[in-house]
Amino acid sequence: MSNKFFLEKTDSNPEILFDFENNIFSFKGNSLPENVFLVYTPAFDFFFKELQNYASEKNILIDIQIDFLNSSSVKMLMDFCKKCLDYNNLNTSQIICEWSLTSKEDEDMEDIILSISEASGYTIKKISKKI
Amino acid sequence: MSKSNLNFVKAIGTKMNEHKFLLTYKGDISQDIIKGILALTEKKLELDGTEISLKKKVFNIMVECLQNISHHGQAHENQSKYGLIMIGRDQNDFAIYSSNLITNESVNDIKNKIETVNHASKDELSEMYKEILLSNRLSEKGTAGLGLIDIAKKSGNKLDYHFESFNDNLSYFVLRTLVKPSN
Repeated sequence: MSNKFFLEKTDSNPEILFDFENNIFSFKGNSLPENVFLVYTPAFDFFFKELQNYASEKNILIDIQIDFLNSSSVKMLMDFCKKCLDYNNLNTSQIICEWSLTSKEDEDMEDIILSISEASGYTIKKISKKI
Repeated sequence: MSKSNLNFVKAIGTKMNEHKFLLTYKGDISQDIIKGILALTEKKLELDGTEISLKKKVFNIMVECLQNISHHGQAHENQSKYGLIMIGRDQNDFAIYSSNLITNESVNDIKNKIETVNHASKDELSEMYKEILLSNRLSEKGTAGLGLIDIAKKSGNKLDYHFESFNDNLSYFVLRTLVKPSN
């Protein structure tokens, strides 16, 4: 069975890649689906199931490049972060989420990242990309 | 069709100019329609040279308003869900208007939610947002209950609203959200 999950980017959902074989994990694009379950549940179910077989002590770096997201996507990502925190507390390898800010002075996006971090207790690293 | 019968077109255009509406849509609000409205909005704001952070605020509020209508709007009898969305621009300020039918039972609940949001400070709004983010479960439709707080946070202004009875079961709900560059 493949240990890779890939969801193609559309107008309303980001590209999601969870590739355990090559250790590449990313979200890229906008996230404004009408029903967030349809987009994220299969992806997150796959991710946490594969984590149970993850024997490496290497950290898992998740590259987040989401430029816009609706409020229900924020909730979905907060739940994801809570589960990442649970994993980190029990394992040597750590899940690290890095969120790239693509716009200058994007206070709203910084506020969303802070809200997710504070609500979940899991720290997301902010990366500012030069425009 | 006679010339006089077409005068309403000019009248609508004049009204749109008076109120500086960039975009107006009334009708069914499906996911495909939402995508179309958002693509058009993005293009309009881009052509107008709106700065990125302001454009993102307007876009974000539009998404929450449209998805609120799609998830919670009611249909009258066998008709499709009624929804109305308009963007007005006065200099650098934007006003986003949305309207849809809701059940009469939900009027007080929505009114109380908006009043709570309108009486909250910026810090209190952030706390409310985090509290709901942590405590609420997503509904079966995938809604988080964060829409109005998110709109208020992005706007930085009080939300204007109006309810008007439609019939014994339904009411019109109108929401106006202001977005200013300084926020």
